Amino acid sequence: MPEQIVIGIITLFIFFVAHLVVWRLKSKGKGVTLITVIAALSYSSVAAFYGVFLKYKPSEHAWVSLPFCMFVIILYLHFYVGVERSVSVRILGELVKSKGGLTMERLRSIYPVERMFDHRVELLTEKKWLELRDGRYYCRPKAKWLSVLAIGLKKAYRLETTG
Amino acid sequence: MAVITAVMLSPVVPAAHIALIRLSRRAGGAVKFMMFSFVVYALFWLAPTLCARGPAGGTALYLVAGFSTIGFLCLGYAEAFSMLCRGFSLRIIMDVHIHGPLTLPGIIGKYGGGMGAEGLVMKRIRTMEKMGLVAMDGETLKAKGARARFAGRMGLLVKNILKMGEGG
Repeated sequence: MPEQIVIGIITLFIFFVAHLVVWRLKSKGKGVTLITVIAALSYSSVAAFYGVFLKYKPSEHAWVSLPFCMFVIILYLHFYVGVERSVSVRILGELVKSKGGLTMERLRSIYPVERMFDHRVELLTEKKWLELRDGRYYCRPKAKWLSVLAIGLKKAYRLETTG
Repeated sequence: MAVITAVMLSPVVPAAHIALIRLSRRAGGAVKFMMFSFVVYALFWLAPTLCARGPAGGTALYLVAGFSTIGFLCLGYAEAFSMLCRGFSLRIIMDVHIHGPLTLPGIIGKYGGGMGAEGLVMKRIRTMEKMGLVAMDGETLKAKGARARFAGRMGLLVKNILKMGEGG
């Protein structure tokens, strides 16, 4: 197997082990940004090891090993975000747990979507996208720009109801 | 070179995607068109590669680098497009911008053009029904088939292994 691919596979192995260990130990602050940091550190450490001990410079292998790792990691991120945030995956999980299925009322009591709004709005305020003044939420400038961009893109893609 | 060519050709994806959506008279089908634009992009990259390097397609490593870059950019694009279509936070920001300032109950009520929290769940359930993953049996919503049970169990297992909480 070409060395460039071997470097990619070693990086991915280190990344998955580190990700699993960190996620098992950490209770807060687990998110996509931290996964990206772990991925970057995994690749840098393998590239540094190869450069220092095996005299194989990153410039000789990065054109294959880096895109290969980035592709597998973004594929994993899709899967991760899908499991973590998807309402559909959560509903399917609740249905599997219940065995015989759930009435809409029961589903609402197990999975109160309103609470999801509370949590997300709180997070958006914390990250300075929204601002709370006199019990009302306002968009901060960066949120306004993002909204204008999204409205433009919605028109370009002819999307109707989003969200 | 494989990576640079793939990056330089990447605007083909949004261009082809938007063009296909706008040329189509039918509403919807945005995801199918996105997949098709990925194929167009890959062919745009592959054609000059095969021409320049012959039918053997150059070295296998060249193809690995090129297709990995294409895969990475396509998945990034798919994520951004999915955020635009279904992004929860983005929709809240848009609603506050369009209708704001809003109170918390106002945000819930205005969500997704007035569909509210109930609409958010129903939209997902309808999509899953169309995909054959769930079905209403009288008043009860049930997971339908092995694929749905596998997806549900897989979600629970991953959340458990990575201690992700309930999610959703």
